[in-house]
Amino acid sequence: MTAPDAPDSAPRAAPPPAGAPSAPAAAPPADLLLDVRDLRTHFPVRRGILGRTVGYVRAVDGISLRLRRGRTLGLVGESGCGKTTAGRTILRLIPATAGAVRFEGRDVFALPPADLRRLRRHMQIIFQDPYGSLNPRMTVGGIIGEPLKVHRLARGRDLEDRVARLLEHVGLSPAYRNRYPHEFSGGQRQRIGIARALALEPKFIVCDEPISALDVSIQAQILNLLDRLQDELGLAYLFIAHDLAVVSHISDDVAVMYLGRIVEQAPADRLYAGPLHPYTKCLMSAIPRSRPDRPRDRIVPRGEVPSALNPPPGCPFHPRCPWAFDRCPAEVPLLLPMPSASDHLVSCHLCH
Amino acid sequence: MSSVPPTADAALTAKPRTYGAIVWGQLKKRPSAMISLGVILALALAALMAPFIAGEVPVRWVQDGKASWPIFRYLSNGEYAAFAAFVLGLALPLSVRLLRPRAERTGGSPWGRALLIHGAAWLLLAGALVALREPERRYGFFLERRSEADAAWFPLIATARQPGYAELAERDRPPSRRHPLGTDRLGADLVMRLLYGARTAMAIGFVAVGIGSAIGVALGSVSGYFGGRIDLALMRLVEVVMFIPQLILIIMILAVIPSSVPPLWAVVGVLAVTNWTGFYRLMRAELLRIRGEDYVTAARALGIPSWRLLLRHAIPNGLAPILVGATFGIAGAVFLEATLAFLSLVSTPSWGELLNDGRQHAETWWVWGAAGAAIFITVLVYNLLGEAIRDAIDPRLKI
Repeated sequence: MTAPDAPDSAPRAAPPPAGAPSAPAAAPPADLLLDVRDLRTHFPVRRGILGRTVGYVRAVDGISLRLRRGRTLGLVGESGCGKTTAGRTILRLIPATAGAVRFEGRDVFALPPADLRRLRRHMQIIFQDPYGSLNPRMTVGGIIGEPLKVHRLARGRDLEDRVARLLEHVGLSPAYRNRYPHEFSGGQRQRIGIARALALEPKFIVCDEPISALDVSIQAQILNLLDRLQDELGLAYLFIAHDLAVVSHISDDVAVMYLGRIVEQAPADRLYAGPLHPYTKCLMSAIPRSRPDRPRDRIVPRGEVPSALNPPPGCPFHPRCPWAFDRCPAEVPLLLPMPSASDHLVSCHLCH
Repeated sequence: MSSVPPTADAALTAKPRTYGAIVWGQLKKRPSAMISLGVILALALAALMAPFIAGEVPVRWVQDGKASWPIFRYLSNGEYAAFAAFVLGLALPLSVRLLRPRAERTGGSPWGRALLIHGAAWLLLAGALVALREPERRYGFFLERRSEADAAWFPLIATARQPGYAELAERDRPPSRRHPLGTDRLGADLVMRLLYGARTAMAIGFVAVGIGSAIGVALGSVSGYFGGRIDLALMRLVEVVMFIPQLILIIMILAVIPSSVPPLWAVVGVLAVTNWTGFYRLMRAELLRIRGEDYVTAARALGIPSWRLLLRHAIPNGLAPILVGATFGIAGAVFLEATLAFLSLVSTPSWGELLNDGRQHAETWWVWGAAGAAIFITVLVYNLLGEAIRDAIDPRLKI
């Protein structure tokens, strides 16, 4: 299948983002696939019979991300930090409040509906809950074949063959195609969800905690499957998770989110070896060790996550930070590269 | 010819169970549901076959060595249409089964194709009927000349259909061999009156609830899925409609409609345009739930158009409460129709009318007894069935 624009097999043939406003600190790499600039998603909170807006939940409050073809960007953070909202806003499944998303240079938020539908072929999503993400009234073959039918990519015999190949691709028997989702286990259902996402031969998939709801033994299988598919199909992933260990295993780069903002972003191995932001350090110290008998420094943040409806002034992490000082509540830290490494970005007054 | 590929997994050899099959399995476990379903089917069949059960036109008539089948010239177009609908309706599950292997190969549902075939057959039949049939109506003829026939197959209860023509000598008879439920004050057989009353009850119930639920599902799903201004406007409309008392609206409309409009249709119309609010609210609530489900988000991410998303993903998952509501709704419509007829607001053969007749003469207990029992049983079985369906579609059920 050839896409209307550059085919998957030639990742370097992509045009650079045309007319990108406010040139970023680093020049855009040639194989840039996704460019998220200062994305904000605020949900209005309405009260009373008139539905007056009394405030906004700042689920995503100004994040910028870049993803190259065939690479994986991990997005980590605890529950409620806005990582799922970020993933869905990037796909324009939730309306954005501000910011821009460019996919292969095209402004996703500015596309008219027909163009958006065409673009959806190239960006897909895999969900956390394998039970809620499949329509219980459709057969597996219907679920996987529907996008092909709707986008007029296949019909009849060809459609059957492609559904069968997709099922085989994710490690399921093609004979399963007439069965209903409720007959499958969680891991199998997640494979069906992956096959559905792959049906349109996308270039980019948002993996929204795809293994969090699975048994530990199944988690590795699905991770390996995603890894294999990336190698075979040249997919780019935005891998959302709350487990830093999982993310750094699969990701090239990792962004750590806290309360709607990115607090640290670096290549996975560097982040893993030397986290700089206090929040990342806390997350890192929470990863279980293979030798629990050895002493270790456990860093536990104080208190609870503040409300995104009323975030603390200054650095959002300061009320919980063990190293907070007088500058933290007064001034919002910027996400800046470290002097030592330009690809390691930290938003902390301790570092700058 | 085998269309099923060889299977490697033992789990695959089991037949796939659809949601419908699971609900049916639950229903089958309840004797009250099965009995109710049986009574409803028997009632529908009896109403359909009314001219064969009680009436004056013989099925077969032999005179001077020539045999004829008079009843088929006396059946109305509506009756033929109802027969066709019934037969095709019974044949539908069969044709779905026949179409299933083909549909499974292409990954679709056999229902669409089956309905298409049935619809076409129905249209052809209706066309042929209108074009070829010469109806004949002369009542009393056969009963009067019964002795002239060499042989005649009359309905089970051979009795005049027109009350004006009834055998007045036979009036106010208690149940007997000839009239199993007795006769009324004009000598009309009660079985016949009950059967034709059942037709009215069924027609009102099915048509009013059918139209009402269709409107409710369509508007409710749009309202719930899209939200915003459409939702706001529709919700206000629903509040206005719900504010109108149904009975008073019907009485008003019956007072103003021209006499050329059959009052029964006016009642069905009023029921349909006032009854949809309940279905609307059920469907809207379901859609508010469903639109947040991941499979709907997935469908949006796949670029599936809104209309297809609603028809294939959202509405099928929200229909279960509608089914329950419709079952209860039919009971309600039957009851309301009986009320209207009891108040002599409509003059179709009806159980309510019969009840009113009987009320004025308490000594003819078989008249009001039969009418009351018919209303009671019908409302009861629909309520029992509705309750059983409600339990069977319990969300805790493993779907």
